[in-house]
Amino acid sequence: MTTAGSWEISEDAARFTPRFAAAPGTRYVVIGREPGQAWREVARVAVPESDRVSSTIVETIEPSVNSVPANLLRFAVNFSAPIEEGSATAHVRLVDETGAILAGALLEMPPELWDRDRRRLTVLLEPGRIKRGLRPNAEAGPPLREGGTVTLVVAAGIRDAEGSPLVSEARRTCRVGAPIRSRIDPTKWDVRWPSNPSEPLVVSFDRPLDRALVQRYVRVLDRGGNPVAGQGSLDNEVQRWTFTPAVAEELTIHVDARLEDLAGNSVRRVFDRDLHLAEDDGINAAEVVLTR
Amino acid sequence: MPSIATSTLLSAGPVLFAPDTSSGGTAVLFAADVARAAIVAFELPAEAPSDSAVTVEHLGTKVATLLGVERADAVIRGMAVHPVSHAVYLSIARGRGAEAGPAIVRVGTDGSLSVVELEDLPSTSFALDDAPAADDERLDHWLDGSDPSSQPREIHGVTLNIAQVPVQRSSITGLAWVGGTLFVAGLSNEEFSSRLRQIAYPFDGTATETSVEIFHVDHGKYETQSPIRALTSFDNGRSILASYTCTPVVQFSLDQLTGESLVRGRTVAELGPMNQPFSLVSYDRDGEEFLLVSNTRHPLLKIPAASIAVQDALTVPMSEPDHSLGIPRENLDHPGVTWMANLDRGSIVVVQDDGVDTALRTFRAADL
Repeated sequence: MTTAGSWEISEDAARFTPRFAAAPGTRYVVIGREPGQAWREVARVAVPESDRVSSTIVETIEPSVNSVPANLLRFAVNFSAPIEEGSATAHVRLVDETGAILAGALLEMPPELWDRDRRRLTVLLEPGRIKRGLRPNAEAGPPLREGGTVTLVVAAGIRDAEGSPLVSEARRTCRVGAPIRSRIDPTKWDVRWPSNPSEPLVVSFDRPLDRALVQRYVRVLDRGGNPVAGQGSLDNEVQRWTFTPAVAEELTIHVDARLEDLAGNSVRRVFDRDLHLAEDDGINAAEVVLTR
Repeated sequence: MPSIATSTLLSAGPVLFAPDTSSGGTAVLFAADVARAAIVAFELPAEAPSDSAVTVEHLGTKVATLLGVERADAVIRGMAVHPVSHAVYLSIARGRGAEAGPAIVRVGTDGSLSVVELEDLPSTSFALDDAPAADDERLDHWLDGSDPSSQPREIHGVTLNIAQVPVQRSSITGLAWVGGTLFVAGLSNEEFSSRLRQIAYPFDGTATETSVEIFHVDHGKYETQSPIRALTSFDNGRSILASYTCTPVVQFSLDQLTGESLVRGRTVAELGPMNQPFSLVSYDRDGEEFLLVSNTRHPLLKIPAASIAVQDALTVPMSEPDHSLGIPRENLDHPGVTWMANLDRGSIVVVQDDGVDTALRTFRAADL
């Protein structure tokens, strides 16, 4: 098998242009033969390893909370620069408080779940281990043990889009608390409505929520259903959302039923619904609207 | 809604041929671009018919050499068989770092390998995350200004900092051609749900999306949902068989998948834990239809299609002595089978890994 590319032969040289640019660290063997003779090795070519100085780091690992539910569904890792798709699988792992790797706890990749910029990687925990009654859950137990800690480790060997490793390994450790197996109920949120235009709207959720989904699915609209301009912010525990409207309006909060908490429970349904519990029955509404 | 665009691939994922060629012999190769959450349809010029089957030893080494990379830097991400020439098209993630990218490698029935020059082919693409879904009425607006792509925009006399669809990304785990449309299975970095998309070809920018859930009714107590990892059509295109992580096998009837309401599949087999299904295909032997499931940990499994119709949904927990694993399955003695694709109804092309290298082999129904 020969490498794809094209040859240009001149009087005193033969020039090979590979079809794909040569990857750092790749070794090639050039073989040739005289007419009627056997193939023999003419030269070896080694493409140098990249000498680019690495500057890519892990900026944050979510969830940012101190304590995660034992049925935690996902982590998200935010990088400072785009990462090479496909190199995450071997470099992301979960360890417990003794440093032991929690084998089989993460959903096998590929596919790897990257955002458009390849700077945010979503890592799912193995749902079969989380879901009660499934054989992996029954035999291997849930991936996280309540009362212990869990650490997501991103090894430095993960390569950025330029092929360089990270500056250093990154870790995030959380305590493991009780599992959460109920629907998010926005009507139980504590909402402090602004009493004058300079005050923020402050919403305290009934539990820590998924940060990206809060940003996507919790919206402030005016009475006419139009988006209200303003600045929103979430605390580290993703339990308190503060929104400062730019203009004085009668505000309403629209919560999309697809909003999820850290364990994948949404407003619509429990991740792991108990068919015998009436309160686990889902709701059909597309959103829940909170008004003053 | 720029869902139709001529484009090439940015990343390698599952591939699939439309089963029928045009009157001029043009075949359509669908390639999932997993990083961009798009399907690109390439129109391939006519190829000469062949009845031969493909066999290539040292496939991994040959593909890597062709692409000019080390063995570990050429990973198969999908496989499809040309409906006329029976050439095997492999979707490869090649290289690393700045030089990394996808490549499609064609393996002819004579065993020759070549790079498919995608840029030269007419193509159209369909972007999954931009496709309007029937139930999706929300405004994709993100108002806190923290997204780098957010732009000031004036609405009703007020300037808002608005970012559009900043974070949700779908990834593609499987493609299937069922009843004249392309089915796409995948998962998302956000909501943990499973949607089966049906996309008509030629692409017109629209898709039918059906949310599918499975009763993980190992014990009839908890209902859960999961993304589909592998799928295939069977029963003359009337049904889909899908397999999930850890590893239930679930049947959906095509007439259920209308995009209107949540569809619950029927779990007909439990293949066992800590396992990932790789590939699912259907074939005929002695006038009877069978399905094959290749797995990351379990052996190659053979399931008679007729048993699926008569299998009740599984309801007894694994922990109880009278539990059922569902429809009968047979372990086949073909170790290391990963990717599979139909050559025809009676032959399956597989990638087989012997631990040292991979090989491309064709199994006839009589061997299965």
